[in-house]
Amino acid sequence: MILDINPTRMELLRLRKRIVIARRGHKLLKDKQDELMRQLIDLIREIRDLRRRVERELTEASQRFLLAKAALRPGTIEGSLLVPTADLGLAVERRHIMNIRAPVFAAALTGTIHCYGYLGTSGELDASLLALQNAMKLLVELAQKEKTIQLLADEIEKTRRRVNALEYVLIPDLTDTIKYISMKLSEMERSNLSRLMRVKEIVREH
Amino acid sequence: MSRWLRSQRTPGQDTRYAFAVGRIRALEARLLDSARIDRLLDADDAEEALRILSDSEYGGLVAELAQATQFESILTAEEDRLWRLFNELCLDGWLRDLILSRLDYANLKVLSRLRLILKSEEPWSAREGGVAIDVLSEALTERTPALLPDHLASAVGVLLDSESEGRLSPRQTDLVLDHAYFAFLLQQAQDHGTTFFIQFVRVWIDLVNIETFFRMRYFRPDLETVRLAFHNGGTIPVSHFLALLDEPPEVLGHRFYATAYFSLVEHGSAALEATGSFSRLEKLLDDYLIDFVRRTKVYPFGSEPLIAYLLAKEHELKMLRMIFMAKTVHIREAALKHRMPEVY
Repeated sequence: MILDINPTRMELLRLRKRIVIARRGHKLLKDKQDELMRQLIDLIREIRDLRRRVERELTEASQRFLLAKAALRPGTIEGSLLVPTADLGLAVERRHIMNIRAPVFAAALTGTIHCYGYLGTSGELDASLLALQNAMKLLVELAQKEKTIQLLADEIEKTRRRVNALEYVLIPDLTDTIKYISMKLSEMERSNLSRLMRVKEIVREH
Repeated sequence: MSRWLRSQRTPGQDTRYAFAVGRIRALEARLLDSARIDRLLDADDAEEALRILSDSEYGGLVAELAQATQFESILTAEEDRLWRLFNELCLDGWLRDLILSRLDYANLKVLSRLRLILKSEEPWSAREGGVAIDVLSEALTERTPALLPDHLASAVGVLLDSESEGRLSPRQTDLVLDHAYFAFLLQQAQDHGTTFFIQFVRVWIDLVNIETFFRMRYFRPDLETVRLAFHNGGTIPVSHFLALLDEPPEVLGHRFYATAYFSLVEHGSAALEATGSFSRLEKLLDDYLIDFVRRTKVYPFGSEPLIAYLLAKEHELKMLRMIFMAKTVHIREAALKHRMPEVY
């Protein structure tokens, strides 16, 4: 589609500069998109294994916890875990990946997760809580990677739209407009030339 | 020593319990046998397990149940019935106090967390022991341990002192109360009980110490906890456990060779090393205790069969809770069978 502009030489020069910039932008965005895709695919590969591991560990930990709970007197677990002595702190930092501010979670556990005595509780309860604690570390890592994937996917979507807009709309429109202005200018030049030739002929007859 | 007093101190001789023992023998015959437990374990789901259970002593309670997921109500009702039976058949005040003190100490653990650590006034209820929960709560909030029996009062006094000094932790609370509890049990058994009760308390202390020992080896708590965790009064001295904390697992069986727990320690340790799970060890500990009280089956009289039945029934309720929990949340059958103790 031809842009709504005056077909002047100034405009032609301006459009030629614009198309150079648009082509450079298109190339950069295309490179960015490719790199984002590469990072996304790498992360998906990592996350697939991590998610399987987290699900397996959480399932195992909760099954162990439930079996340990069933072997104890009713109410023992609730009473024993009433005052937790472990604190899970989560520090959030940001790292830049291709203009994306991806989160970096650093989980730090202080204190002990075993906040009860030995009589009336069991070793299996200790083991299940420790397994949950270990699964928590993986869960934080999974959350960080899943959030990064979500941000990468959003950015890829945006970049793809920009690339498509440049590739299929702006650059063809600019090309068409430049072509249109060039043809218009050539035509004006030809008409000028023929007008001049006609004027010269009339002058020569008189 | 008079003949009457001697009969009081010799296991299975107290004829005052003649009626109680007769009734207990009849009730023991109705406990679930290993064949029924196996059928329950092989059930596809909780509904099928419930159907199998409906043919047993629990039939009446199962009929009142709308869904298998409400199995806990059956166990609670059966536990209520058990405690009523115990109160009805127990003829000795000291024995009732001794058994109910377990609930008092368990209630104190939760109440001290609520009232002393969290400073919460929130009402809390549970099965009551020898002392009402309100009285336990008041002793903590009003800082009046004198309201409680002597053995509880001294333990609460220690907790209140620690709280005043600002160094009361939930684990420390439990350890202080556990020490007081075992000291009370041992004292009561020595003062009033037969040799069975004294042996029972000592075996129980040993079993708790053995489990604590393996938990410490595996989870490495702080030194203060290590110092306080073991209980005196068992047949194995605390120093023995402390000396073996860093020994390699393969020599543990030999280190317990001279004790009655050789096989338990050897097999439990091997299973723990192989699987990283305490299930097998816990099963062996349960089996040992049940095997110990099984000797009361030959006692013609005395309060021992009553206590053995109380433990056996609680043991059965624990097994049912594990089975139904596993069937409800689809825990692997192998894991469940690995943990399932022997029946009484």
